[in-house]
Amino acid sequence: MKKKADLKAWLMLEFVFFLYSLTSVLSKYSSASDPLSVRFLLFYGLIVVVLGIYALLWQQVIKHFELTVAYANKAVCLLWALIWSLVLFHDRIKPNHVIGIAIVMAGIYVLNSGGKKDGDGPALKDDGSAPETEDGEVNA
Amino acid sequence: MNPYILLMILSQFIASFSQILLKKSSEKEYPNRIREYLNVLVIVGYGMMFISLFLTMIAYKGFENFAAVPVLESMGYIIVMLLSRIFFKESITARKGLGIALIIGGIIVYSMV
Repeated sequence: MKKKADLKAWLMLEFVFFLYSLTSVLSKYSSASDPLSVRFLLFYGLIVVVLGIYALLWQQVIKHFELTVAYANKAVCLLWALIWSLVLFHDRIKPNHVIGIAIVMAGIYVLNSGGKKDGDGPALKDDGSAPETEDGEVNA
Repeated sequence: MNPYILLMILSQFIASFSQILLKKSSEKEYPNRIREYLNVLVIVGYGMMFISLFLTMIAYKGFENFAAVPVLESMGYIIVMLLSRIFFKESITARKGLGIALIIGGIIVYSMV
């Protein structure tokens, strides 16, 4: 039961950033257009739609995590950016891209692997409420 | 100093503060789903986020290399950590510090030309 709740929150967090990564693709297109041109407004409008869905989900996701942890997970968008630049922009991948993303993913792993060792509560509690500190005080 | 760097810093401050408002809202109880989204905290929060997004889009024009933008954006992780400490008493731990340092380090490595 606990694992199921954890997994659902993590999957939602990952999906939210997948959506968010799309906005950077769209803003790359829109910034290549003249400001306030039809093309610019079209892409800006699309960004608004994607961000709207993102916003609905984000408001649910942050209930389950410390804000610092949830927000820093946004860095996974770099992995998505690499995928988009390969698929959509046909950019060449350089070694430093792969190394950089590996370091970022290591950072995300460290951040998400919250243990009690450093006196830190878990990033996520099974009932989805705010984490508690060791003396039972609610952190939120 | 490139004025677009200042624009990015401003944009990140606005974006980070908007997260605080959103988290504040998510911690409250609401009578229904509509009130959960249509309240002052969420509306102002997303209003700030749109301003930040717009500033970032303008800033994109100021950099010859788009790679500079993610590096500057990564400041937001530090700002959010500090603001979360102030507003939510979230502890700043070695684990969080190391995690965010690795994330920012990785973004810098990624962005090297």
